[in-house]
Amino acid sequence: MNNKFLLQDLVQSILDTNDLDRKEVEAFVRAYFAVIEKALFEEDYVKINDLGKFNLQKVEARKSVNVNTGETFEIKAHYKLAFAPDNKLKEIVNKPFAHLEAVELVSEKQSAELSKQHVMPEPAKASVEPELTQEEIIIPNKPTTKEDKIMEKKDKTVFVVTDKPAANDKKTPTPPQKPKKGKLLAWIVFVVIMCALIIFALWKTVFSDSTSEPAVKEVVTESAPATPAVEAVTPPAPKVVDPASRETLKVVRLERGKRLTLLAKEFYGNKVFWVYIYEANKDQINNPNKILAGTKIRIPKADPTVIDAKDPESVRIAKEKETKYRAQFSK
Amino acid sequence: MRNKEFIRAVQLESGLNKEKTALLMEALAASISKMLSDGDSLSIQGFGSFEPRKKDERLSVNPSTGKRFMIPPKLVPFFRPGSSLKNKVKNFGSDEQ
Repeated sequence: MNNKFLLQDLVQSILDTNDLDRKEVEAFVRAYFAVIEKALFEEDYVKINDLGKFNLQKVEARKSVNVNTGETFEIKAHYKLAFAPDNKLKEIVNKPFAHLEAVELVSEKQSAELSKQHVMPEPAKASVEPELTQEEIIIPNKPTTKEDKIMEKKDKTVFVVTDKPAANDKKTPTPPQKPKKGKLLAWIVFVVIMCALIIFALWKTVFSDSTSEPAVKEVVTESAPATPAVEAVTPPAPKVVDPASRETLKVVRLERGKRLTLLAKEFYGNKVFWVYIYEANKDQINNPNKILAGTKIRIPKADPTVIDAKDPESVRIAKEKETKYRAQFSK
Repeated sequence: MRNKEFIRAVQLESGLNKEKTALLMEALAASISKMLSDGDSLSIQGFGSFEPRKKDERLSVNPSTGKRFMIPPKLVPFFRPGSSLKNKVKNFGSDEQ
């Protein structure tokens, strides 16, 4: 592999397959390439079976610019040598990849995503929605000074407008991009953040003892992808928090038709993690299959060692719990 | 110049007989094929070099149907003319005029 052979090696290789005289073979190889060269200038092309076709191609005169001085000058018309390999040679060389075939990409969504990535970033897609929602919820516990508010607003705006899959990485702020269609979004996000900050301030004055608890609010998440307005989360109505729960990510009031599995999918990326939501709310829920609408459900903060949608092990553990609870409540 | 003419020209140039030339023609093409398929390159002094090159996979769209295809990667034989040959070729036209 990756050896560099010279004419002598070629001669040797031919000698290995034949019982000819070395001198004859060498004379032949030299003649071979000499003739190709000579014939090129006489007839423009040389075609050799099993190898390919050498061809002289004319390059038309064109204008170019000297990169250093900025002067324009003309590149004169000239010729270049092109080599088109014979099909047989092509096949032999391509043997390691010969089994590969062109695959048609059927998935509309996939191709749409691909083209989006290639063409230009647009406001967030439906697939990013869960992460965005979650991102909105984790609001830093900072003293609410004016600068902070502005800073946060900027951060969030940028985040919503960007379309990159980098949205997965929650901690790192996405590189700033010019918000084009994000004006409306920015406003909505700003309102949301302001609400959250007010709640946070209120809450802080009431429960000044537990300082490290994150802010909480309610989010109405109706599944309506595609439209950016819905995407940006309809402004939340403030809700009460349980001050004792230190790891609460947020509290959600269960709507009619909403299920724990849906919440788990929304917050943790996989519906099997509903078991952890249930475990955190055992005092509220008698039967996870029948929860009264309006019940306040506390969503625990995802512990990455236990809840990780990408880790098959944690999914497996959650599934085991799921079967356990299923058996318990199906009676 | 076609293959037959080429063989004849090589035969005259090397001074070998017809049978040997035909035999060597095949052997040489086979040797080059083998080298390239092994991932090796062959460079001939004053002429140029043959080498295998990898073309990456790419996305292609059929313009009439709009279907998208993933074209797999492939290895292609590639010839790079040596600098002396390249210059000769480049100046070929201007010498004539």
